[in-house]
This record gives sequence, C-alpha cells and structure tokens, in this order.
Amino acid sequence: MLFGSKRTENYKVIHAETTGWFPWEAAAIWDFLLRYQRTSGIRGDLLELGVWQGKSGVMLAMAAEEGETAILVDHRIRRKDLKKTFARAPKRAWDATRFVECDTRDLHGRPELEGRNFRFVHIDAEHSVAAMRSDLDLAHQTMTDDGIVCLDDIFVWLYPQLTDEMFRYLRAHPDRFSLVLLGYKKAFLARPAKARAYMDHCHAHLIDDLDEIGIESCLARTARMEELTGFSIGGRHGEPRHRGRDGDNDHFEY
Amino acid sequence: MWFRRKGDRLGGYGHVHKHTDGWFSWEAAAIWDFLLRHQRASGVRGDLLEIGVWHGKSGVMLAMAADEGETAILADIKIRPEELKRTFSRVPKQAWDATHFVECDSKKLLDRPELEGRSFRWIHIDTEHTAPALRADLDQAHKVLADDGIVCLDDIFLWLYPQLTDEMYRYARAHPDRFSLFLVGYNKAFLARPGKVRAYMEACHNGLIDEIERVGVRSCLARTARMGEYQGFGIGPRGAHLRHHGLRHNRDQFDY
Repeated sequence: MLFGSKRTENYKVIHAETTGWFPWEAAAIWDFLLRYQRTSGIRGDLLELGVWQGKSGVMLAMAAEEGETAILVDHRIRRKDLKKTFARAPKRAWDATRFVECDTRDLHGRPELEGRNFRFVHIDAEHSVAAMRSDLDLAHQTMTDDGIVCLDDIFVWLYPQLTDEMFRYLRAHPDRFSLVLLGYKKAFLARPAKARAYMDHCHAHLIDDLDEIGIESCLARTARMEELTGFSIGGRHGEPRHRGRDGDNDHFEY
Repeated sequence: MWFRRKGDRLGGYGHVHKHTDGWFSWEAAAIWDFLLRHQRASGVRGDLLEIGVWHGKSGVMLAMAADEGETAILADIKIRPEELKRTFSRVPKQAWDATHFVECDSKKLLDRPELEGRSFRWIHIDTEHTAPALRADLDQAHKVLADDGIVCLDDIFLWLYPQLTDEMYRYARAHPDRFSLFLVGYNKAFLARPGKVRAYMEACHNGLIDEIERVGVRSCLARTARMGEYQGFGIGPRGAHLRHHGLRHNRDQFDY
C-alpha cells in the first residue's frame, strides 16, 4: 500500500511538517481511493481548488501517473511555501504540477483546463455557498465518468453552510453526483453510475486498509436505502468495524 | 448559573450529568442551561417535551427547568422506570413531581391524552434515528411548539447518522414558515419559529460564549456564512479560534 511504500513514507513527513488542515485520516482515505483508481485503470488529471501550502495538493501531485497532470488552483499561489512542501516530495511531483492563480469561479473556460478530464477533484476553496456551487458545477463539467469529487469541511460546525449546500446540490442534481462516503471532515462523491463500485470497494477493504496504519475506524450505514446514499466513517471508539442500522447492526444494506 | 448557585433549582445538575448513562454532552447541557435561563428571563412559558429519554440524562434537566405550573413530558417507546428513578433521585423532588412519563411510539404521541391542550416551550427530539421518523417528529413539534419555543435536534453533524442532518436541512427548506435554524454544534441543532429566531440569535451572540465558559466550556460562536446563503450560528471548541468568528477572510464581519 502507498503508506507502506517509499512514496508514502515521503508523504508522512510532508504531512507532519506542512501547515494545513488536512487530517491524517483523510489522507489515508485519499490514498486508499487513489490506489483503487490506479488498480482499476481509472486515468485522468487531478485538480485541487484551494491549495494553501500544498499539504493535500502535493499528495495529488505524487499520485499523478505518467501523462497525468495535477492542477492546483488558488486565488493566491504561495510559491515559497509550496516549493518548501514539494521539496520534500519526489521531483516528478513538482514536474507533474501546474499552479493556477485565480478565483475558482473564474476557472470556467481557463486555458489551463482546456481539454482536461479529472479523475480526482478536491474542493477546498472559498467556503461560501455560491463558490461551492460554482466549484461543483465545474467538477461536473470536467470530471471523468469514473472520477471522485472530495469536498472539504463537511459536517464541520464552523462552516455549516457547506454541509447544507452539499445536500442541497445532491438533491437538485441527482444525475450529476452521488454521495459515496462522508467523514473526517470530508465527503466523497462519484457519478451515480459509478458510486456503487466505489462503495463496494470501501465496504470490502477500507477499514482493514486504515487499520494497517493504525487508524481504527467504523464504516457506518445507518440509513435506509430511500433516505440517503453513501457510507459514513469515523473513529471506532467501541463501535464495530461495520455498523448497520440502530437495533439491527448487521443490516448493512446499500 | 445552576452549577454555581446552590439555591437555584437547577443546582446539582453537574452531579447528575456525571453519574447518569447517556450521550448528552456537557457542552450541550451548558447550552441548554443558557437557553432555558434565557426563556425564563424573557417570560417564555410552556411545558417541556423530550422524545427519546433513555435514562433521563437530558430529560431530568427539562424537569428541573419546569417552573410552577409547567410540566415536563418525557416520552419513549420504552420507559425504563428503575433507571429514571435513580436519575431523578439525584435532583430535587419537585423535578419528579413536575414530570409525566409517556410510553408510546413517538409517531402516536399527539394522540395521547397527556399531550392534549399543551403548548411546549422546549422540545427535544432524540428518538428513532431515521429521516422519516425525524420528519414525523418535526411535524408534531410544529403542531405543539409555542410561538416562542425551541426545538432541539440530536445527533446533527454526527458522522454516524448523516441522514438526520440531511433531513433537518431538507425539512427547514421545505417548511420555511415553520422553523429556522439558529444554532448548530456539539451534536445538537436548535430551531425556533422564524419570527422569534432573531431574538434567540441575539441572546446567543450577546451572552452564550461568556456564560458557558463559566462552566469550563471554551467555545467559539461562528457566523462564517453570508446573509442570505444560510441562517444560524455554528458553535464548537475554541481552540485557536476567536470567541466570535465571522467570515473566513474577514473574521470581524459577523452579520446575521
């Protein structure tokens, strides 16, 4: 697995030494999903909206395979900080990266995105409803059919408007994205036709995979089919590894 | 405040909280105390209702807050008399006297004679954790909540039950004339009637952070959303945050 390999050992140091709000648990889930994409032959570029010092963006750059590009966008690119972060990663991560300085709402039609299809889009830009809606529209227009969108600061009390808007967007556009997984301040969305494949993989392997690097989590599916799609994940703390409905824990339907 | 003033009717709740099984956090209890005292000081009157009681860890607080002539109705599909007696034995007897326990499915609560003619100033919804159950409970709350009352929802923004948060927002959008969200945090959400939400928000803005800090809850009240995109505050541990946190890139701008 990536976290046991040299690549991830590198990332562990980056994570420890880079300023940012990217939880280690979320990084581990990214690693899991990025590896799944690679083994499943899912190809495409990688996009991050809202970069700060590159704590998570460098992980996308490190995951870029030959011929793939990581596009990191921020309204202010902090070159000095980013160089410091990327200096801890293999050089090819820097080579695979393009930095774009602009408001994410002005990204639509930018030449840097022309003709690109993204397999991973991380939305962590301006924490307003309008910006998030625009960023999700952009993700819809540019994401591959088998890609993943990751949203930041979901179920975080400081920005309740983002959680509200995520659910609102999913309901308004059920043909665009389905919720796959939610937890550790992130939400993961996929195309409705591909959500099942991601969920199957999470159900079969995610908890074991996280356990191997010491992250004891519980994958939950407490909702009924008609209520909400997707899993949620959090610290195990006495919960089982897989948690079904209240009062019927083994009922893990999705 | 109740944990400091020995003579206060809410005195001693800290002891109950410490020794009673349940998932009601100390931070949430401190917010309840603040809001219940605000209701009393503002002359908001009415009965108090909890749907989903378990051992009474939060329900007993409603019973203790009941003023003369007010009743606390604690409803659960299964009333656990032994555990509840133990919990209530730790508080003044008038809390027990002010309480009626109702054993029934929450969906049929309004058919019960115990609720006939009552108007509630406080409703805590902590029952079956499904979206349809929450919707039904909110429908009932709408029918019996006083115009200046509060509805508190459990397990909001909790990863284990994302369907509850989804349903809360969905309901608020579908029925903007019924409830407005004014505070979310520490696994609870607080709703009020649209016409009264401003008063509760002002009370929270002016006093909540100072008051709960007195019982060791160091929090930040956040209003990071712009006007029109979202209503209500968020609250959570202060950490490195300010006491009041406005917009992300302009923290002093705290419009609501």
